[in-house]
Amino acid sequence: MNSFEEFDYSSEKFSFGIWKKILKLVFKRKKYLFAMFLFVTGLAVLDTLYPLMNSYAIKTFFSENPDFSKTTFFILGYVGISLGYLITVWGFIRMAGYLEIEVGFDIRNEAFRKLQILPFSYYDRTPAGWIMARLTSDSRRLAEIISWGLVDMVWGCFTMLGILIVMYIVNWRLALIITALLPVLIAASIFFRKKILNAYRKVRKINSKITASFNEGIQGIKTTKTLVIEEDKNEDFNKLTTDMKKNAIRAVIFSSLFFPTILVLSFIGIAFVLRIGGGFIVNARFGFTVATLYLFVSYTMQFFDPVMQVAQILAELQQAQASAERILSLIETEPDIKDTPEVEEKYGTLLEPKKENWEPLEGDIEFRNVTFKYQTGETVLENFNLKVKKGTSVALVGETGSGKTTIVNLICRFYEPVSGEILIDGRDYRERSIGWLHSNLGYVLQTPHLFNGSILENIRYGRLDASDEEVIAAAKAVGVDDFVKDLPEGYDTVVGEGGAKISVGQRQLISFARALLANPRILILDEATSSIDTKTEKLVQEVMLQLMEGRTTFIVAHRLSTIIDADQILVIKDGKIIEQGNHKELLEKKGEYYNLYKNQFINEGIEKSIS
Amino acid sequence: MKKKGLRNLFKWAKPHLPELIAILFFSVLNPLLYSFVPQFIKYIVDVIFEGNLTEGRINLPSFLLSFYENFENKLTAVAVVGASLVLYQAFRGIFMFLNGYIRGKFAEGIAYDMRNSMFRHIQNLSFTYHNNADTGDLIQRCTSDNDTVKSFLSGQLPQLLYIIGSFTFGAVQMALINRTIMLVTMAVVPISVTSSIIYFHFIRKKFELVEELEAQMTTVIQENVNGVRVVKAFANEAHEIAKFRKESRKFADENRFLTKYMALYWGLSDFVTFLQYTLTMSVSIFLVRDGLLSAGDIIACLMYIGMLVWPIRGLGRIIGDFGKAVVASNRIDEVLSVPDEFVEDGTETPEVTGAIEFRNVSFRFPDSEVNLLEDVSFTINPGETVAIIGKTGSGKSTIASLLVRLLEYQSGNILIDGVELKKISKRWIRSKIGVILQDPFLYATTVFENIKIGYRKIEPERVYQVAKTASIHNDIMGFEKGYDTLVGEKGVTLSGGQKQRIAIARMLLMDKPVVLFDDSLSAVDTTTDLAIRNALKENNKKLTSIIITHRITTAKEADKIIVLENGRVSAIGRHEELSRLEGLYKNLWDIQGALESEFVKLVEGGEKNE
Repeated sequence: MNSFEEFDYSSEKFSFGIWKKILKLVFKRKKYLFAMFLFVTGLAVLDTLYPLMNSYAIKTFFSENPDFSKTTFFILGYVGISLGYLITVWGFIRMAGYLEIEVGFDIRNEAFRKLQILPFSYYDRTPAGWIMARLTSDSRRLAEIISWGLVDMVWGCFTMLGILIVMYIVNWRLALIITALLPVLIAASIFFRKKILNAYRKVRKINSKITASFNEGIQGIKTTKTLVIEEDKNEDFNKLTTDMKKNAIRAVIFSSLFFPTILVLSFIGIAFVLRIGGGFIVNARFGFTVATLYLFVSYTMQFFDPVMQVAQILAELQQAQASAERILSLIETEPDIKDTPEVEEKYGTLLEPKKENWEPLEGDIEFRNVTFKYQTGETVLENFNLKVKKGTSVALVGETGSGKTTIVNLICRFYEPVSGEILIDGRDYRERSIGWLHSNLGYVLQTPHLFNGSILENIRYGRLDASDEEVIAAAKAVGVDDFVKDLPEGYDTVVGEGGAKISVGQRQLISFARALLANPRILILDEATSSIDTKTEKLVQEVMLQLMEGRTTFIVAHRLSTIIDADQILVIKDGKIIEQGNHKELLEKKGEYYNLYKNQFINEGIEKSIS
Repeated sequence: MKKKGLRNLFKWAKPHLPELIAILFFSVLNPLLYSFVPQFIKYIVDVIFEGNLTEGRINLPSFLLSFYENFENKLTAVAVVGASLVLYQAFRGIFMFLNGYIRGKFAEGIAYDMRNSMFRHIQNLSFTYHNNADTGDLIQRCTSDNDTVKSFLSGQLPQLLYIIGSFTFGAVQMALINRTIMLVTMAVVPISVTSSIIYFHFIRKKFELVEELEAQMTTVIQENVNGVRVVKAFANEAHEIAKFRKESRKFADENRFLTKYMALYWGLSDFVTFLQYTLTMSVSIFLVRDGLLSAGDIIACLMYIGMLVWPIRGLGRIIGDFGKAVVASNRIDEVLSVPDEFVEDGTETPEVTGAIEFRNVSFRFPDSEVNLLEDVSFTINPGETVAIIGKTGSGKSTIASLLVRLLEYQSGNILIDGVELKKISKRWIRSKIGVILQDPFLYATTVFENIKIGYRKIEPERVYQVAKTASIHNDIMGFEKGYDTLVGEKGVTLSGGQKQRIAIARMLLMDKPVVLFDDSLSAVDTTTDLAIRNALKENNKKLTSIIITHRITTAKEADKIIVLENGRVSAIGRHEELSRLEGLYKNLWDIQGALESEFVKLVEGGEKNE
């Protein structure tokens, strides 16, 4: 899993391919994009116009022979420009904000949609944290840099352009000086921005290490105390914070050098403007006046802001490329388990199923010479054969990590056999759609996963179109109703994140009700190892048996009673099926099952008497 | 409370006082120095080109002005003034750099202090505190609250001075040019300040709402990713997409609402600010009619207006941030003011051989009225293997916590080699009595590092040795990277049994005279359990081991068995004695035997029935 560490992909080179794809996403929101473009251009025009206006005012009112007849005109002009700022600033913030929000919305939706289509195996090899980061911080960052970056970019370029154009029109000789200054400014800006961003990248990395250390320090406190390694841990932590301090100050040095450097550079430009422009005034050439000089001085001062902005955006884009790359890698992941076009044609896709073409599922299951290995090459099943008649049950027995879950995953088509086939009702299950299979499947987890919502919603998750009555009927059937009655808010009680607000036993019962409501033909029971109180356990047992009635059931079993009652028992060790048969047959063998059963029998007996 | 909040906030700046003073000084110096920049331009325009003003109206040091006067030629004078302006800016640049650098040092110094003292303190907080603490909240106090305090002290606080400085010096320089212009330019101030305070107050609340909605959306993603089996098994993918879309939309819509207000505020704010320029310009046009202003004056004034009208818009934000910083520093202080567990500590460091005596020990949690242990007495001799057996909740694990002073007993005595435990240093006793927990914590590093933890340097051979004794060596060699395998989120996930065995290995390496297994072989099968304990005894004949267990087969082998029932010792003895004595142990033993024979009967009966 190390490959999922937060490494910054390639990212040294600017990749047009990536940004082209991202821009495609942005172009879905053309309306905002163009409106924003318009407002920002307006802003750039105003920023160019304003010094010009002042310059004319100086020329008209503050020269040797002032002309006061234009006073009203100028005041109105100023009011007009103020209004212009009101509109453009309001407009571009609004449009860029909307663009950011909608692009973020689109990216998240697209990624989430993809996540739903991706098969279970994807989740098996991708840490949840990685997925979460793509849908939260990465998409947020990308949307932000795209919209506000575009604003800065457009504004920066147009302001620079506007200023240059006006300067060239007014006096191209003096404009040349500023043009000469431009590459120096740009080079310096890019140099510093890169240095600063790299330094901060390092700082961020150390920062996340510090957070992890805090987490570890708190979570592992008892162990740390009993090992008496507090001093070592403090020392390690001090090393981190010292490193942080060193690097953060380094980053600060670069950023505090940046602004003064640009400032001095631009004032060198201003000094030249003053001297050469001054020459024009003294020699009365090119109609140069004090007002023109003001214009050039103020343009030069104004000039470095857009340069700095553009440099920053270029550097940030470089950084955001890593985010873009990671999101695209998620969106573009090809599911390795999917239906063939022919199957999709007939049965529909996962999101647009053609339920009218779905045959009923009976529940006969057969593994025919099934071999399965994980991508790592580890073979889990080899030439495995198993026949399960509809309505019967199979218990999978073995230690944790022995491979019980693999068989379950194969039945659910979370994974597919590498060779051989799995037949449902006599036909290879790949001939029908994943949606078809899953709609006929019920899954009850060891640690039931509930969603943060009401009890009613959680049960209805089994079949979304079920009426309230049907939900409550299912709840009654499995004993959920008994404890819901005592809750002040009844079925509307919110269970909290992960179901934290209700007990484990209650969570299990709800997950049974959910499965019952789904009325599946194939039932997967991943039995709980965690002990719940005896009363609830008995209830859970009864409900399980009731649930299994008439359904083809696979149980990842831990409790004796469930194992004994199963029609078939598979004993699995190190990914191999070592014994297979029913309870009696297996006991007679006096092999692995015998020992397992004996230990289990005694442990359960003692546990019952001791708790 | 507010007063204390202020003290909590500023105490972090105290150790870095010289730096803080320097930053505050620079924050005022910067606008002061800047306020002279327009004077250079004004000098060039008025004195050199227009030549119509007296020098008294140029606010530059007289030595500079008389220096400029040396240059008869106008253009040479312009070049000299221009060059001196560049030098002046470079001079300012040096201060700006110093300001930035010292500010960074100050900020990082504060963050460093806060992080280290939080970490150290949290490590030293009592076990009871940690038992009741909310990890997420605690981490937030260590990270984001820390950031808030740091950036207020190093950022917003000097910024406040900068705003005041910029405003004051801008106003003074303008007044020197023309008092009326200065007063007119103040018109916008009350509007800007009040609207900025109102806006930032309002927007903060909106931001919180948006963040909350984002968190709700994140929860949906999280539940979807974690519950992928359920989603897929019920074929509810389309439903999930719709659900996510709804939450995502809610977040986006609230965000749009926020954006609307932001756009309106900044648009209006810019409008008002530019109206101020308009007003100032209009008034100056009337003033110039009366010959009260020159071209140089208006050019300088245009620059000074900026010093007055732009920075004050940030006041509202700083006021809001101040409140946030006080809250954050209070939250940090709340943790730091909890006394650590070493406030009450012993000083003695006796030799520990394993002679342990409990004499009428009782214990209850401070917030509880029920005694978890009641009048518990027993002795353990050096080199003995002692099992403590009892039902869940009988107080077994409490004994372990008491023995290493994670918890403190209220009455009775615990004697370690004859010394009262309360007089013994906590760290000393923990370094002598090794406790292996049922659910041990592995640190996010390699397996090797996890075993050798507590040692800076050690022969790898010794690590392998203890791993073999703890029956984990083969498991480790089975990993792709062997001992270099990373543990935890970014590495392999170990099973409970593997974790327990690694914990045993690292305790073995520490070679303590007493080892206490707090149900720490529960996830290891019985055979391995026995093998490990035999190997332990083999390694160190003098080792005193205490085994807390609910497995009767494990207890059976001990030199002494202590039976615990409802916090009281109900029997002490060897297996041979206890299995004959009426009581819990005999019951358990009988059940074990009965179950075994029942099992045999069951199987045989089953066979006969065939």
